[in-house]
Amino acid sequence: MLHHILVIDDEHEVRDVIRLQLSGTRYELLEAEDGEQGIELLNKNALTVDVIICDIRMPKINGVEAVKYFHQEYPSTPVIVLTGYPDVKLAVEFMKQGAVEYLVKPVEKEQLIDAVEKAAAKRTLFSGGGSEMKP
Amino acid sequence: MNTSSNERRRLGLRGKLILAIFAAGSIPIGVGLWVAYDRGNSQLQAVIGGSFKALAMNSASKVDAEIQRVIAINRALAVEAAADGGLRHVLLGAGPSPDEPVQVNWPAVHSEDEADWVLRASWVTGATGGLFADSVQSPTGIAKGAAVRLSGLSLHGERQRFLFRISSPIEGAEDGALVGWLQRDYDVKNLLDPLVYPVRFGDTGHVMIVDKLGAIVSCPLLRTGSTISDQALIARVADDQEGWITAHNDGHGSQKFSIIGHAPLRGVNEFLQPGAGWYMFVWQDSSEIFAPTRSLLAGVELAGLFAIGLLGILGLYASSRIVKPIRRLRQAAARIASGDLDRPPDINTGDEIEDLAHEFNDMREQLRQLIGTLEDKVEQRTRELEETQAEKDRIVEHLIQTEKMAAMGTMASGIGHEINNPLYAILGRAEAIRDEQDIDRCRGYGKEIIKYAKHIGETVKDLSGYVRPGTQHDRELVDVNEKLTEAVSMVEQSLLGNAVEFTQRLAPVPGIAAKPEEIRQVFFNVIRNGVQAMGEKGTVEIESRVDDGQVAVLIRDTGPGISKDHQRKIFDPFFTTKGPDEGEGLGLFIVQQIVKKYDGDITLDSENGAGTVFSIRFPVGERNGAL
Repeated sequence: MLHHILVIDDEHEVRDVIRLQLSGTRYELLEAEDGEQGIELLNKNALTVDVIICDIRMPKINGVEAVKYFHQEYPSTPVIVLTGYPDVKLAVEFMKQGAVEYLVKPVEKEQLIDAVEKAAAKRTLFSGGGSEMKP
Repeated sequence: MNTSSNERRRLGLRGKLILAIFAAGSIPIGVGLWVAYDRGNSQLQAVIGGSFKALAMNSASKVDAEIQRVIAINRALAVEAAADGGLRHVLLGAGPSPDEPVQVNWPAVHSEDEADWVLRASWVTGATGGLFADSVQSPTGIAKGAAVRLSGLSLHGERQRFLFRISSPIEGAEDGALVGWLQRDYDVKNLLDPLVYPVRFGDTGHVMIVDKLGAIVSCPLLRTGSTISDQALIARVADDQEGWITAHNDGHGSQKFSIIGHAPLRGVNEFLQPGAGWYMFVWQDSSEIFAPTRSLLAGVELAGLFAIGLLGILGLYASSRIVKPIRRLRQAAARIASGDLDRPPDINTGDEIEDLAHEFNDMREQLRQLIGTLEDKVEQRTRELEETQAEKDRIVEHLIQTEKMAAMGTMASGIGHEINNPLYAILGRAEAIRDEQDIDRCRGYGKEIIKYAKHIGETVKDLSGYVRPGTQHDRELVDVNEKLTEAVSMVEQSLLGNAVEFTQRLAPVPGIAAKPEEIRQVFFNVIRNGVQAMGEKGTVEIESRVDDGQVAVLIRDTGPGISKDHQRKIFDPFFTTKGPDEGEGLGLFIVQQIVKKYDGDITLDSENGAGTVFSIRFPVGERNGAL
């Protein structure tokens, strides 16, 4: 069974780093440049996406709106917010919207994998199944 | 004293004083003199009238006595005629027929040719004749009856002499029956003029006899037989009581004011026909009568003029005494008005004016002290105001700096994005190097790390320009378009999404003299305000142009607009419509302070629901003055 992580960030260097950091895990990356693209991809791959990693500041549909949508449409798919804004108020706001983690760039590889794993575990919990992550 | 008040002041104080003294003095003097003249004149008239009356009475009694004497002679002759047997026989034989009157010249008189003869004719008639036949038309008619009768004047003969007739009854010696009349004509002038003419006084004073109808009987000035036409005057003097009158007619052809004394000739009038009468009339020319009055008047007038002249001199003197010190007081007031407070007025009149001068001097002293105090106070207050202004400037400067930092805080997340993204890229590559065995790959990561590190360096460099305190910059010529672009970029960085569209229409504009970071702060605050008002969705149009010699910047948003009520308060400090965590309400206040500081102007135009346009204007900076 495929295990996807949906990465939504308008900056390709960020997507590159995430790819680097998650390389060697069982996850494959689905990459989107903005919220709109991200929603499209999720709609197509809802069953295989275990975790969503989403930026905030993006064109078209920004992170706030995207996370809100995900939580409404796919409440069992955990969302990790990965952003350059070290803003506590914003973090609290996202948690309220349903995000499971709020990470501020730069984030270390281990920290990111840990966050993804914990989120995936929640996904497993919600959906009643799942797979164990192998580092 | 200005011109208008000079025109208004037609009569000075001196003029008023003199006028008052004249009025106060002249009126009683005039009244007093008039009363004195009037009383003097009345008394003089009474004295003159009384004298004229007495003279009239005296003259009348003389004429009466003469007529009585003549009548007595006639009576004696009538008795003599009655005793004359022949004459009596003729008279009695004549019979009672009036158609045949009996007339006998008796005694014979031949006086026709003698101009100065008094008796002109003498004859005897019967009891029933003669009297009527010889009657002549006279103003007073002819007496009838058995007593002595006196006729009025009659013009007689070719010599035009005026005569009057005395008719005396001739009565029988035995029975006293009337047998005839002794008729004798007397020349009025020759009889009476010697009595009337000598009574003269002054140059024109004289007496005259007038009958009740106004006919002149005897007068040294008027012809006998002529008539005084003023019957009203005659009615007043033809009085059976003696007296005097005043009239505007002297009976001699003049309408002058006259005093006339009059007295009846009682000795004559008792023999005249009832209703007739002779009156003595005393007259003098009014100019002569009133010569003493006029003299009195002249004296009174002279005295009055002298008194008024004296009053004038006194008024002049008094007014000088009053006006001169008042003028000095006025000069002192003028000196004070011109700012000279050092010289006191020099007035030593020893009266109320000197008291006034003392009061005035006290006021001058107080004024001088007050002005001194006031100057000190003004100086102190100015100093305080300057200090207050300096304090205010410090506070505003501090606020600007604080607001700038607050804005930077808002921006920090955006800036964090700018830095954290490349930093994350660096971190990710560093981790890859750590875990990577392939040296070429590691080199590739290293190159990328260098690239991202440089990018961070650039970002930090940009940021530092904003963070530096404003006081470190002096005024310089600021490119408004550049600062607008920077401000837009800063706002963009603070936005989460890209739902705000910024359009810029920047025309080439001259520089303005200001601190660059403050101008950028102005634009940043206004643009951010618009973006926040729009809920970070909409369009912000930014325009720059030269307008009316000024640099104008228009920032237009498509937000909900600002109500009129809020428009009034929008530049007030701590006024905000945003939530408690979204700002202190100092943004636009700071904007206004900075714009004012550079002699600029900020206005806004907004309709509810139709967005807001902020218009910011700055004067064009001069290169020399700006730097």
